[in-house]
Amino acid sequence: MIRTLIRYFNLTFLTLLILVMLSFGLAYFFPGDPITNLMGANKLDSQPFLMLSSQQTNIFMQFWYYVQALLAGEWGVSFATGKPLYQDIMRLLPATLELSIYAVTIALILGIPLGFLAGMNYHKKIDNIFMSSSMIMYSFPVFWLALLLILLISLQAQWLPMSGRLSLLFNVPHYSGFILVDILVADIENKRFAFNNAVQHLILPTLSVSFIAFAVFLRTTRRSVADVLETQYIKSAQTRGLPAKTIFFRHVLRNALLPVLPILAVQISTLVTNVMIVETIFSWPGIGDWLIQAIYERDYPAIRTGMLLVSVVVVIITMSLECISQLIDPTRDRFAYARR
Amino acid sequence: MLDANLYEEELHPTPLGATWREFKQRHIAVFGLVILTLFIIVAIAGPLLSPYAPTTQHTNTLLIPPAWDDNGSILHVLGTDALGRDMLTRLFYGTQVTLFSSILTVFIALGLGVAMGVVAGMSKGLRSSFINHVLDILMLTPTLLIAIIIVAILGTGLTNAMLAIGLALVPRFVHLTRDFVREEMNKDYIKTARLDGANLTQVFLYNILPNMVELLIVQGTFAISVAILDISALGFLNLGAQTLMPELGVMIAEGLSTVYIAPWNILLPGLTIFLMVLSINIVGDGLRSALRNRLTH
Repeated sequence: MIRTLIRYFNLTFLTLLILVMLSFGLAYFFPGDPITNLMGANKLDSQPFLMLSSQQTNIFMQFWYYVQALLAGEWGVSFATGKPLYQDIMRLLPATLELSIYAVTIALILGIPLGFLAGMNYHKKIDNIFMSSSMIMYSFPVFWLALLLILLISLQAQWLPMSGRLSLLFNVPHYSGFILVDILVADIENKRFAFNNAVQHLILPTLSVSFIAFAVFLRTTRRSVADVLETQYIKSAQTRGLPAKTIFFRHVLRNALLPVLPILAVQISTLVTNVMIVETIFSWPGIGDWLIQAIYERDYPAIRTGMLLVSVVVVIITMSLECISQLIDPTRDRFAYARR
Repeated sequence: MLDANLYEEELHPTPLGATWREFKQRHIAVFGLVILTLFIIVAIAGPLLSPYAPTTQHTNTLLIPPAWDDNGSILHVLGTDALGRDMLTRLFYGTQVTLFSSILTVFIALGLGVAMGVVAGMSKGLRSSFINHVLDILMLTPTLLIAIIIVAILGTGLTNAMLAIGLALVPRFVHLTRDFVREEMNKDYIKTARLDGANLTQVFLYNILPNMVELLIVQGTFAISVAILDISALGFLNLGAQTLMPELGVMIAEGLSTVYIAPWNILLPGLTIFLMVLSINIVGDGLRSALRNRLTH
């Protein structure tokens, strides 16, 4: 177990190093002066950036100063607003995380049990219904789905708001960045109304993101349940006359859940893409909306930092999921490329 | 004509033939194939069928609803958009652009991915470790991020969007090829071929590749559906194909400005994408279970 942990720690560290190198390299690939692209302005006062912009440094020293600046939280300033990127990103990141977490949770809570239901009734009517509907669900282009929801539910029926995180009437002090947590912690009047309002704003974006993730989880779970049911050990358990309940909880459930975690890890990158698109459509003030705005404005420091941060978050989450799933099931070792 | 001796007749369908027999068993899959064929025919022949050009603006017929509406006109069967361009014509051209650019992207990604996958699968030790970890990073990075970076460096355009999506698709094929090659390399028929003096290239071309074709077709089908979704998403975000090109995602983005009075401008292109992706997914799913059934029987 210690070996696994060390291996994954190493892997994550190396991956992050490569990502930092890539983001440093991006400044050279973007049009314009590399140093300006890194800092976002011609002159900044902080120590690493002063060293970075001095004329005597070579590229390796520049990289070293860049890493120092990153670690110190000096991420340069935006071309468009001139404000420090670190504060911008730290303000936006919780919004994105909040949306993704709720969407994944809903997709998991609904997808896995229904996947079990479908898998236990493999090739029966209920399975076919689930399969066809999930096929339809994951064929939806996510931006079209979001637009349809806005058209039908926000514009036609006027049930739910179509953009933003919270009505402007409520003034919630910034605490953690997670809007629901903030409202619960905040000491304001009309806490109930603010909470309801925030939930109403959350429903449509969460629904659009979880729609597709749900279909994927359902299909994966169903496949793995069906595979487990065909194995010899289930057959032998049935021959021994174990009650169906015991077979399900002791043999099927555990073995069928094993492949779900790795799938979640693989799905993260798709999920992030979907979250970013949905954020743009619902004007959700998160990192995706901000990044796409940055590309419209050709705000190179913002693109570089945003890309670095999003991929770092994705890598850390994926690596921890992979690590956990290997700790649970030591027989699978996906990253042992050199030994095989 | 009936054969004289029924019992001596031996029917050994080719692997492809056997897959097709399994595929035919599932009616929904055949239905998906029919729809997909229709889309391909429309994409090829559609521009010939339509009397209009996709960019011609009919200034006296702006925002005409589809023909079944009371205000519709039979001259424009699916209506016109805010600039008076015929919707059906634009859908024909849009299908062409979106479908064919996705297919092209997938072909390029498939070629690259298989080539790299073979190298990764046949190599051992540090080299294998290096190649695979770099590819894993590429796989982990969300498509939209790769696209944003490429657009920032090279600028917008359909070609750059295809490049970004192709780059994001490559690792899928690499993983598939690598795992398959790894598994096959330990089998006896490969050892026989090696003992006969075949080098690694020959082993791959004559022994492994024929066994892998169907797997690649299935994976390629799903990759096309992903590519369609991504290319249209990039077009919608104005990071891919640009305004003048009749790409389906771009058409949805353009329809947004008149969505109150002309919702069909975003409904119809979206429906086209949806049906296209759905039919491809159905065909891919049918192919996959046909293949699984053939191999288990």
